[in-house]
Amino acid sequence: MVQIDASDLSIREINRQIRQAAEEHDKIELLHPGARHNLAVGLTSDVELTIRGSAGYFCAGLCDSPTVHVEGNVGWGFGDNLMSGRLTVDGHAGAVCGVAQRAGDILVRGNLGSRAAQVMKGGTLVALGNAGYRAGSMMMGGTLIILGDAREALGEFLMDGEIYVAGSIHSLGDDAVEAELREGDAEKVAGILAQHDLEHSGPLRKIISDQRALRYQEYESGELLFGKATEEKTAAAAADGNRDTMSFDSD
Amino acid sequence: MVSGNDYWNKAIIKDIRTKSDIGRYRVRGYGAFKRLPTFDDLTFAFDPAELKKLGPIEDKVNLNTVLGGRYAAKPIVNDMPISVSAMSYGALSKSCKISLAKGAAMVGTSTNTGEGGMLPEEREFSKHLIYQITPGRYGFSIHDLRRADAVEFYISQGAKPGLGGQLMSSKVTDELARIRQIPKGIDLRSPSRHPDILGADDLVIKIEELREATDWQIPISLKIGAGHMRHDIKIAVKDMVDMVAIDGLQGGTGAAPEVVLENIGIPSLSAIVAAIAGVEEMGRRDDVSLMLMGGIKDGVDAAKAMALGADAVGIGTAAILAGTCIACVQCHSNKCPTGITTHKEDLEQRYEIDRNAEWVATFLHNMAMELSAITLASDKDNCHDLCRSDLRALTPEASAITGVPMLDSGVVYEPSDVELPA
Repeated sequence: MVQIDASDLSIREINRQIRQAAEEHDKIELLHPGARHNLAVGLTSDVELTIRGSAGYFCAGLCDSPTVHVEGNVGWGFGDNLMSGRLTVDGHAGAVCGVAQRAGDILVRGNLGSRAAQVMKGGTLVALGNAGYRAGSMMMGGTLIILGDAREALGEFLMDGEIYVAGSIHSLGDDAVEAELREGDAEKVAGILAQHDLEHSGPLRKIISDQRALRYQEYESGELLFGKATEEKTAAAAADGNRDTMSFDSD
Repeated sequence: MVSGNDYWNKAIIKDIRTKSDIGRYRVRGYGAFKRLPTFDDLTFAFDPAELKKLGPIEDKVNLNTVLGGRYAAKPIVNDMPISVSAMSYGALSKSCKISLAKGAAMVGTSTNTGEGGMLPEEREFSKHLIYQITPGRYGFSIHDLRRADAVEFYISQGAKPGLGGQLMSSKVTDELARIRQIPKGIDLRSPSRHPDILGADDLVIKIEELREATDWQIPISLKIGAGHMRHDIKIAVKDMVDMVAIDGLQGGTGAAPEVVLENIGIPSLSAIVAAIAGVEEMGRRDDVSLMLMGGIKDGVDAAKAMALGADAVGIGTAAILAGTCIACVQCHSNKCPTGITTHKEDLEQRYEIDRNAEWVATFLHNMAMELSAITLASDKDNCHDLCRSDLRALTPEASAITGVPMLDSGVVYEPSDVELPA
């Protein structure tokens, strides 16, 4: 294990030292982080990093593989674009926690700010506290678990993935709908929580996409502007490799 | 005189009937068709005596172009100031993406992933590959970021400023869904803004995140669909980017609401003038590289854009037209008959990757020669020395937009509120 004291270091130097230490050590402690932005960005090894304090925006952003534990609070965009690994915050997280998360597991022991898990695509994000407005906005996959309450417009324009809420839901967003828990849902949530040594015994509500929005059903074609493509002629020309006879006849 | 049949023509009637049928805005690909001020409204003020001296032009003009050297340790150095613009795997077929990468590399210039993630083949065949980070973050990966030669932070694009990307469900194949990590069956619309920035103060932190993730090695570009360019460019400069890609109204797209495609944004001609005015007002013209895109169709357009202040230009529509695109405006439908914008195997097979790559490379080379000829005719040997005084306006509108004097009369219809550089 190695310690890095961030007190008098620039962000660039802190990250440089973290990356270098990650090549040589399994465990790193970052002291006096000072809630600065962009700490521990771009880690791609399975190092264990403990941040003894709070971090600003995009802490542990653009990472693949690490285990990062923040003992304080974090600002916006914690775990941005996480590809694998495990991230934990003992305090609260600001807006867009887990934004664009692709895989891996994030745990926030406090509350989530607004728009947590926005454009999330995979992995799990668990909050023991409440979630601010528009949690799960435009989620495309993954699992968001809120053990507290959810504020306005939960799951706004949800495309895919699942949201589970233990507490109250102020309101659902456009194209989000409450669904009955299916067989295996409770076990799935229990399994995710167990990874963090957590349990939940109360009821859960499940939110999924209503699949109404973002579906045009049929398209009008560009041919309405200019006429019909002569499919056979174009195919024949393509087969001959003669682009000059590939045509688009106007009617 | 316009007759009733000319005005209420077949296309207009079909448009009205389509709208009355579908009950929503129309969606299509390609670009804007309406008449707009363009670079054709400018010309060069050549001295006939200089034209007489023009001999062979190959290798007589310095076309080398450095992009993004403000903070990046490794700026992009292209052999010409003309690049292939961002077009995604999704909007385009994989074959077309590979072809554009090969074609651009043949002439030593860069290409751009667009918003659909980085294809391994695209990386393999590109000389310089710019990696886009977009609001939807489709397939975005730290590993691909570190394989890129530059990263472009997409704010918006000329074809649909204010909107995110759009990909109709018919084009979301299994492979495409896997690469972008998106569900199948939806008509994909990207968020219209990045989830993690709401303004300039957030953006500067986000830019720093990308710098830290890439160890300050590669340039960071900001792509802006032209709107309030004079002000937006100032935010870009203050937010510490290395480069700004300006995309005018004429910029093409794989799919967009037609009403936005045709009507929102400002033409490329206006955009570059406003952007230059903005950085000049700050006294920081040299801080950022400026690339102009949107309707650039030949080396003459490139020369005019550079004379107005651009460091480089990008071509998208022209690059695919250089190959087998037949401009049938079906880009959104997955029915592209030439295999350029479709993911249907039988249609994509019609697209010959290497032949199209050669056409793209030849066209880019041709553009570079046109640019060289104009540079020499302007009594210069470096294309980056072209300047506003080399230009003349052919229309009062073009003069008013650019501040360039009219051909013959020399009258300047100068915009009242823009102080323009010499």
